[in-house]
Order: sequence, then C-alpha cells, then structure tokens
Amino acid sequence: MRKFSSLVAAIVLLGMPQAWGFDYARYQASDLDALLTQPRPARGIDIHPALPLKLTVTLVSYAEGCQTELLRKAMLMAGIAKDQVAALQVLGCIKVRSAKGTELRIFIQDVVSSFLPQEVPLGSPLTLFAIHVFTSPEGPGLLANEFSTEAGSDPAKSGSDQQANGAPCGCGTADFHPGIDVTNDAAGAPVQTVDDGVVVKVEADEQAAVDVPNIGRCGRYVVVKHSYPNGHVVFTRYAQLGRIVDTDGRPIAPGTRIKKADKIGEVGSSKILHFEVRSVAPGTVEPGAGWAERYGADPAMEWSRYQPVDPRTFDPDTFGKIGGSAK
Amino acid sequence: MRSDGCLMPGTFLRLCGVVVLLFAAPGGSLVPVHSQAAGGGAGDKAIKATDLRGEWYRAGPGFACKVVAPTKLPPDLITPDILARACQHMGPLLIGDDAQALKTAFGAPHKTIPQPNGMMASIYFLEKPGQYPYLVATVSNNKIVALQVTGPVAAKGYSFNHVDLGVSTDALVEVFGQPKHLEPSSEKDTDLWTYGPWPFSFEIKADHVTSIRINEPN
Repeated sequence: MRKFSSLVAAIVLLGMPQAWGFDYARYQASDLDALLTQPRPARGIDIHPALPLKLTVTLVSYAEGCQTELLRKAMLMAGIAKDQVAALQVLGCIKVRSAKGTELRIFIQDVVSSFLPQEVPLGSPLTLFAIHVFTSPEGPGLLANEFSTEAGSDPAKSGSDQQANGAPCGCGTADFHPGIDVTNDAAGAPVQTVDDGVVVKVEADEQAAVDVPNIGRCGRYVVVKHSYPNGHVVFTRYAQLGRIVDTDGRPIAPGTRIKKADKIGEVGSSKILHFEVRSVAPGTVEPGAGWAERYGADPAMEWSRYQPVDPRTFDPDTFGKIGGSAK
Repeated sequence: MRSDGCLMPGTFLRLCGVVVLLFAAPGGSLVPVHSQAAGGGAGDKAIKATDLRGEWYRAGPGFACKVVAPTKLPPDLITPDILARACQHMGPLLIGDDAQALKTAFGAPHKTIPQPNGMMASIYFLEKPGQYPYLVATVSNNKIVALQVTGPVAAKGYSFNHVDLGVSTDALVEVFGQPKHLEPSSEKDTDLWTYGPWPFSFEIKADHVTSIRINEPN
C-alpha cells in the first residue's frame, strides 16, 4: 500500500507531479551538514521555496514531537496551495543524524513514517526525499515525502515496493503483468483514487482464464476514467479488492463520479493492491487476440483496449506526445 | 509597536545592486532609471525629492519602485535611494521627510516614546484619542525614518501600496507575495511578516493585516 499511498501523497503535497509515481529525480542530492551550516534567523523563520532535497542520514528516532502547525504555516508561505496543505497528514517528526553527527528533527508524512519501523532499524542509514520549507534558529525545517534504504539502489523498487514487485499478485502471467502491486499489512485498508474521474467498470467476480491475455486475472476490481480538459483520457484500475465500497460503506457503482483520494474499495484478503494505468493515446491501442469478440460489445470494457503503462514513470501531462498540461 | 532597525546597515546598498528601479515617464512607458539622467528641460517646474511618489511592484524575486513624476526629473533626483524612498509613503508623509512634516500634518503628538540610538517615536491617533487606528512616526536626526499605522480596519488615506489595514492575507499576498520571514509579533496571537531586505513589513492577526510599517531603506 505504500507506493499507492505515496502516489497520492505526492500528488496532494506537491501538486505538480511529473509522473504519477513518486518523482525521485526532482530531489537534488544535498549534504545535510552543509544545510545545517546555512545562516539561521535569530528568531522566527525564514521561508524557503520548498526546494526538493535528497539527503543521506542515519535514523535516530521513529517519532519525535514537533511543531506541525508551524510547518503548515510555512508551507502556505512557501507558496504551496491551501488545499494541498490542508490535505497534508503530518503528525510528527523523526530524528536523524548527519554524517558529522549533528542530530535534527525532520517532519515526515504520516504515510511515510508508518513504514520506517518495518523497513529501517534505528541506527541505519537511509535516504530521505524532503523539501526545505523554512529555516528557524534550530536549523532547517524539512518535510520528508519519501525514503529509501541502501538495500534498494533503485528507490522506485525499494522497501515494500520491491517485495511487492517480486511477488506478483497473480494478475497476469509470467510475462504479462499490467501494473504494479502494492502490499499492505492488513486486508480492508482503504483504496483511494489518484485523481478525479468516473467509475466505468466494477467487477465483483474473478475473471475467467480467457480474460488473462487482455486484462489478467485480477479478482475484484474497479476502473476509473479520468478525462482532462485538453482531451486526454486515462484509465486507472484498482484490482484484487475486497469490499468495493465508499467511505460510508455504500457500494461503488458504474457512473459514480469520484474525487481525487476518494475511497473506492478496500484491499482484499491477499493484502495486495494491483494498480494499473492505461492511457488513451496514439500507439497505445493494441488489444490482444480475441479482444473484439470478448469485449467489443461492452462499452464498460473500453479501457482494456489500451496498453497498460508503468504507473511509476507515466506522465499524464505528456503521454501520447501530445504535450501541454493535462489539467 | 515594533522597534526600529529591521534592516542591517548596508542592506539596501546590496539591494540596489539587484533590484531594477524603474521610472515611469509621463506617458506611462517604463524606462530604466539610469536612462533618465538627462535631467529636466528648460521650463519644467522644479521638483523636489519629497514630491516624488511611487509604488512597489514585484520584480522577479524582489521588488521595483515605479515612480511617476509630473515632469522630467533633474539628474540629481535620479538616484536609487531617492527613487526607492518615493515608494515609502503613508498618508501625507514620506520616509525621509523633515520631522516638521509631522507637526504640519498632525500637530502635537499624543505621546512620545524614546527609542534606542537617540530616536524618538511619536504616536498620533488618527480618529479618536486612545483608539485605533493610530500612527507611530519614528524620527532620527530630525528626519522621519519609520512610519507604522495600526488598527483592525482600514484607516482612510493610510494605505500602503494599495494595502489597507484589515485586508486579508490573500489580498496582501496578491500585492506583495509571500513574506521572506515570519516571526511572532509582540502583540498577542499576531505574526510579523517581513520582506527583508525591502523596507516594509506587516503584522497579521487572524489572517488579516493589523499593522503596516515602512522604514528608511538602509
């Protein structure tokens, strides 16, 4: 569940995702010790423009109290939109140590910090992907949006994601897995949509073997269609679900309009969420053998005509080489 | 009330190196200030530095002071410090005015409070004695070096750069952008927003401007 949560967190927090996956590339490698030597105000805080930094540190503590209200205030002043700040879930800090031994508390998104105890022992090195929001007399005010460990040299495949990708959900075949799998500790965890859209398909039953070539065998799933003002269309599929219900427990039905981060179901008994993206663009229409015969007469299966793309690298702004902004 | 000395000595000299000060010709076109150094033509009415009025505009990460002059300026007025000061006006007063301008505008102060470094703060209630809004003028060496107007709602004629007391922070940000620095004010539940090294700052309470301060560009 971490990856999917990170996707949502990244979209909510940063507002300008270059891709639906966490955009590690925008975080510039930085030295925490150098950051700690930068000038500090005698009182109050200096506001920074949320510069994204990649910092290698040692984890000292999983949970520290800190002034999260100050962080929110500083984020607003750093120019981050009010609704994004309001949606931010940050209850506290972690404590880290720099290479030269200086300790610092760093704000961290709740969804990110919840994975630290499972994945990073205290005293271990880790890489933080954080934004520099302010500087106070105590030092830089950083908000960690993601982390990776040395074990995962490719951050996009580190931690729980790496485990998930190494253990496919069963949706697909040995050489066809149309998405990513995200593990969760418990069945029943809420699954939220990545953007505004309309539910176009709710599948409450397992698929037949004949479905495998085109859509995999993905258990219960929901497909959401996202339409953008410039004409771009993207389908997202959330599969291996348990209950397909909204926040109030009401069943999700085709035609339901949903907002970004709305709940459209729950993680099933496999504790795996299969998430995939299919974009409608030239070159992505390539239905497998027998597609027309099996699904051609069913408008609700339109999404399956299009090739799945990697959600971690997919850029909704530029897919199909159309260019321009998607929203 | 805040104390003086928001800017470190020499700060504005550095500022002048990066900010583009603009002079607006009577026709409205903008030209860099240095290109106006030709001076006033024969027959132009003499204009003094204290006659100049301008407005701050956001320019990249900083601000530029755009001065609209009624006539062509003589070369001795076309200097960054004079033109920047032209944007530092509040009510009938301009930073850099003689202290006499206070007496002319308000008469005797309601109260005076000595300040560090030999400066003196004079308080003038703008409507009723003892009530908001009030203005504090700080004088040093017989010159006005800071002006601060305080109150929960707009004080007529005492806006600064189109920002009135009582406006929302959204309205403030629309004009000046987000502050460079934030700290608690000496007033309860109030923040101080500063834009250093630029010589203006605002007190904010419950997301509204409750005080505006301008001072001498150092």
